[in-house]
Amino acid sequence: MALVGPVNMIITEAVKLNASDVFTILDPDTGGANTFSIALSPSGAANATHWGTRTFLEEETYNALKNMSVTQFKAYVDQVAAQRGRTPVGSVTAFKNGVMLDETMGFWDFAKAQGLKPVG
Amino acid sequence: MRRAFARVVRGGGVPQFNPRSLFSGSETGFLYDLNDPTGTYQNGGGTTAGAVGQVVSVVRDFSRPETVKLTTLPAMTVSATVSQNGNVLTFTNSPANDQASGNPGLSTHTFYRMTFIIEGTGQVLIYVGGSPIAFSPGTYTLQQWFSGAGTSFIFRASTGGFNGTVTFVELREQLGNHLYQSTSAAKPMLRQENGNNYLEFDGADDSLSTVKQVAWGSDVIDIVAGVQKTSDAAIAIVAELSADSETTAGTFGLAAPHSAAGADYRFSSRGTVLATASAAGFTAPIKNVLTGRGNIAGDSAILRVNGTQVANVTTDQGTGTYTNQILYIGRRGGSTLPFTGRLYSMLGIARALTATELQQAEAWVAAKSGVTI
Repeated sequence: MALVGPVNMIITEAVKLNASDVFTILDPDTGGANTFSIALSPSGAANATHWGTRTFLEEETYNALKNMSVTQFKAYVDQVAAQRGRTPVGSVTAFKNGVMLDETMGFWDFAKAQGLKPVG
Repeated sequence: MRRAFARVVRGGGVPQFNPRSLFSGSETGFLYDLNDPTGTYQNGGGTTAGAVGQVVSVVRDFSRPETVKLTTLPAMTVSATVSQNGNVLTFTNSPANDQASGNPGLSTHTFYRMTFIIEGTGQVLIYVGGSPIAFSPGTYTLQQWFSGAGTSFIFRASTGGFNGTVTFVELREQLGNHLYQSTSAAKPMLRQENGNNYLEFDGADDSLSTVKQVAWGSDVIDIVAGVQKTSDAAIAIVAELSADSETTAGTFGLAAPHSAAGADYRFSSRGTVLATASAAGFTAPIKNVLTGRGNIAGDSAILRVNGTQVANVTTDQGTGTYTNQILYIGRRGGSTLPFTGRLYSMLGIARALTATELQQAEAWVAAKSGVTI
């Protein structure tokens, strides 16, 4: 399995559920629902307004995230779901349109660039 | 006091000492040897050995021996074309997916090794708790990690069917405090430096845990870890019993660093009261062998760096033993205070090591870490 990364990703709290559904499929292991586990907020105080992750990705998933349209990405996620025997997700639109992605910075520099601090 | 002599120890430099011998009295603890080729696994199925440059899902605890769990196959639930006679499963022109399945009472988050013989035509898919592996006729030993998900024991005719027998020989079990991470984004990376393997924690979300509670059953802990911290920016957890050893009774913790920009290390021990042994002057990036020695009844919390004591705190720790808690590595409770750096090898034991044992344990970890002490 060729891995690409590490890749930083940050999403808003509103997108977290959809992101968890998507990564339940895209994670080759069983714990994809917990991919976005870094709690973030502008002040660092609870509750989290954003969630982040720093991860290596399968090359196909990395390319899909970087280069595909929402429609193409949905087809890719459905294809992976079928391959892995996982329940397809209804929509990927919120996650695909909402994810902030970076592969050039350390995670905390990337979070800082978004005006975010760790919660807790 | 620093010893008058220095020992230069690198990978394999102390062959006479086997750290597994420390646990010969069945002491509770953990022993993570990242250089053992069977010590790390890439996936939660436990079927793919760890490889440098790949993420790590499971780290094996070698503090407990492997023991024979079964020599007799339990009664299995079988499809119409499959029958059982003792340890022999007979597949009679079985189509794909016909199977024998059962639950031999496996423990979750445990390693298993099953030996079996396949005779006949076709292939058989076999699970011992982990992911299915296809086998052609022959004699095999299959090792798998059982996370606790799914059916634990399956012998299934593979694509194209199977006609023949599967003879169960034995099942071996290795209990212990194995480390696990099922979320790929949170898995540390296995890397190598001068022949020494280490886990690289990204300082964001990488962590491991025992998942199930460690039944420490003692008020004593000696922990030795080969650590390279690459950042002093924020408090970071190397190892911690419980989701928060600051506030949970009967816990211990090892932090690198323990204060933002503090360039320090800290070992903590807590009965009902927290005692902390810390030492500054260790500015990242820096690699050390860290030793924490805790004794609740003895009111002792000691931190050693590279075999030399750097802090000794005799604060009253209150009462009790280290309680049954999950052991977390690399992040507090798997959610905050991420460690940025490398973990080479680590052991912990629920008794006070003798002076000789402690020196041997530190030298062993130093050898695994490329540290001179």
